[in-house]
Amino acid sequence: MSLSVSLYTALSALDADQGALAVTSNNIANVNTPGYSREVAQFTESPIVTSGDLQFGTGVNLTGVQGIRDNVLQLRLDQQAQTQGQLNTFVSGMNQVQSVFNEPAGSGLQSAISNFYNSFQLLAADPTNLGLRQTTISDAQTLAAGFNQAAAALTAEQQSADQGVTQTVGQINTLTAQIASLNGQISAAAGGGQNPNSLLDQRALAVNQLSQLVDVQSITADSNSLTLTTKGGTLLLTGNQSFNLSTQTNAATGFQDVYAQGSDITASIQSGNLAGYIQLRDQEVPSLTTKLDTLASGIATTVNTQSAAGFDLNGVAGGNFFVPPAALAGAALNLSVAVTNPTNVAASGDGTPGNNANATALADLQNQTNIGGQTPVDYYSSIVFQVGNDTANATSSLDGQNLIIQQLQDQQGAESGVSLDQEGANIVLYQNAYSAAARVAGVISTLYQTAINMGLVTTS
Amino acid sequence: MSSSRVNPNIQPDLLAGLATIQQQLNQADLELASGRSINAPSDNPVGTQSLVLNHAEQAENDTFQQNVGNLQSRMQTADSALSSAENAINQAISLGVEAGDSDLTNSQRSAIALQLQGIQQQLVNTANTSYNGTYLFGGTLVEAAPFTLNPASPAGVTYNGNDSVTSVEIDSGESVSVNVPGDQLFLNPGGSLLGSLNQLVIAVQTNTGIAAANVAFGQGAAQFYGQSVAYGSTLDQLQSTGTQLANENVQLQTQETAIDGADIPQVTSNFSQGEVAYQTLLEAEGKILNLPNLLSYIQ
Repeated sequence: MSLSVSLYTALSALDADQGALAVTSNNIANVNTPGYSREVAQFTESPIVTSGDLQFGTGVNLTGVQGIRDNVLQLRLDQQAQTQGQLNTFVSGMNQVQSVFNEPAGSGLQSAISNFYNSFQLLAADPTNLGLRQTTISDAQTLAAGFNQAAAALTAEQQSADQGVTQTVGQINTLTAQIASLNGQISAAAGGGQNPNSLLDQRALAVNQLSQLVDVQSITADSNSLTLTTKGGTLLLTGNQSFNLSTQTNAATGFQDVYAQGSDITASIQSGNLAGYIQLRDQEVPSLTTKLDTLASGIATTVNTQSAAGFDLNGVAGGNFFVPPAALAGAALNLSVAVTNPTNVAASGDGTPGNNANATALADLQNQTNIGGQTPVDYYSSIVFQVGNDTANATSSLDGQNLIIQQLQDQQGAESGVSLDQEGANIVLYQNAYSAAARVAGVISTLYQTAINMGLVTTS
Repeated sequence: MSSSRVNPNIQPDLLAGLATIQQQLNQADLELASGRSINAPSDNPVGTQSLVLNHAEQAENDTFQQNVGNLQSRMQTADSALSSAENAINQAISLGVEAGDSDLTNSQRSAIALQLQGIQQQLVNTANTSYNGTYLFGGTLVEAAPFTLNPASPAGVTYNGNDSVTSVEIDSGESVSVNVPGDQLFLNPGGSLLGSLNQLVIAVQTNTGIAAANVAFGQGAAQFYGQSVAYGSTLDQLQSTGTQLANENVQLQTQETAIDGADIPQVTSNFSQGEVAYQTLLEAEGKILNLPNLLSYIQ
């Protein structure tokens, strides 16, 4: 066994420890980099050599740098991010919707509905009073304005969600293009025998961001190439090729439908921000708007019918109090008062000015189950309940979802996060190993000198 | 020895802990500021629904109370007007008796007849009493004076009103009649106050059938008093219902407080506890984030 073998053995250790220190240094440098997975130097013992009957080791090789990541955990995080994204968008929108109703502060539609009907109750006690007659008209106008504003605010929420759909589709396209590009780079790096750790981290981060936006399922192919589809089966990207989603205006609703390669996939999107926007725009807000329309239409129709059964201050048969809604859709948005002259309020039941029978009947409409089997205020209270309940349930789910994600992120951090303590220990470890190998090299150098100087006669 | 690895990046967890306490403090602050535990429907959907219904009931109750107040003023005006007629009626009865004295001269009877005509006018004025521009004794024809003097009529007056009674709701399911039609009060077939008074005037003027006219006027007065009682009864009912409505309102307000009234001592306590927890957490996290790591000790 020659000294040179021992020297190369020591040199291999110096190389390996230098490499390991570089890995540690990179870990420390990326301690705050989002999505970074810590890396570990992989040492492998060099092949042994045989000399006679003896076998000797020949040192150490740094054979790789392993990125520490748990793909299953990452998959769970991505899945949970999809639900979180949907709930985030939905809760944010519903908090806006709640403010439209302004309950239970007492300045919402309940107050306007009660004041309107009660104005007839007051008129019933003094049916010829022009001031009270004017109050019924003013309160009706306030009620109509309340419906108009609430319906307009709901429409604005729908439009805002629609814009959210368009923006999210744009973000999805940007991310799928980015992931496809990373796919190509990862395949090329892996094919060339390079270490694609950094690219894998970037891709995992991008996929997680994409998961916030839309329901994604992934299929990993050879060479670490990733194929992504929605849960409905729409292909988003495969290899280095991405497939853009697009939006097209729905002629019936005026809102943007989501298309993939010519097919409307709006209804198949199940989670992510995109699903939250679609849920708000196509389900929750329309449901509330329809109920608001039903209420406005119900109030207008029943009041008009009762008004027509009475007589105004001049003994003339009563006309419509509200402009009759042209259709159920838009009834709340377009509700307006037809009566402008206080004398035309049909308070009388028999045409005599002092008769209050019709004013009483109009006031009593508030206690009749004339709208979907409920009184107007009961019906309205059920709308407010729906808003509150849907918001509360989604908020509660979101809180739970945030906790799940926090736990998963903790697990991921425990697996992949950079620990400065551990890196510090590694530095000491590699530094000591490097010093020891250098010392060995120094000793061998001394041995060389001893061998070279053997047989030389020195004179003093 | 091996140990399980822990997440070295604790900053998100620390911030989440702070955010949770901050949220609790904000909620407590909101409750203290508003005095309400429900500040948005999602705080308590069932409670919010109950509050909406409660507010509607309170609004209707307030309206009934307003009506009761307005009707009380109106009914008191009517009642006072009818009470004021009592003196005139008594005076007419005395004059009728006086006119029956056979010793009176024609000119004395004429003077009495003139006095009686004055009382007749006075009673017609009472019958035409108005409140806030509407006549109280014209049935539902409230915009024109219900009675006008008409010497050609046997009753001496023409009734321009009708016999409709107006009913006003003063509580859920409870209504009250707020007028007695003028013909029922003053021209009742069972004894017409104004009709018999006119007959008395004619009897005195002609010195014919004065005794019979006095009897008829007595019957007319009795009928008038009988009908007038309705106003007193209605006022009693209004008084009673007004009290009941006020009690109902207190109950509704109590219910409202029970649903959404913030438990101030509890919320204050929560706020204080949250404040302490927040400060403690900040202090602890400040220390944790400033902890050295192994690299700090490597030379």
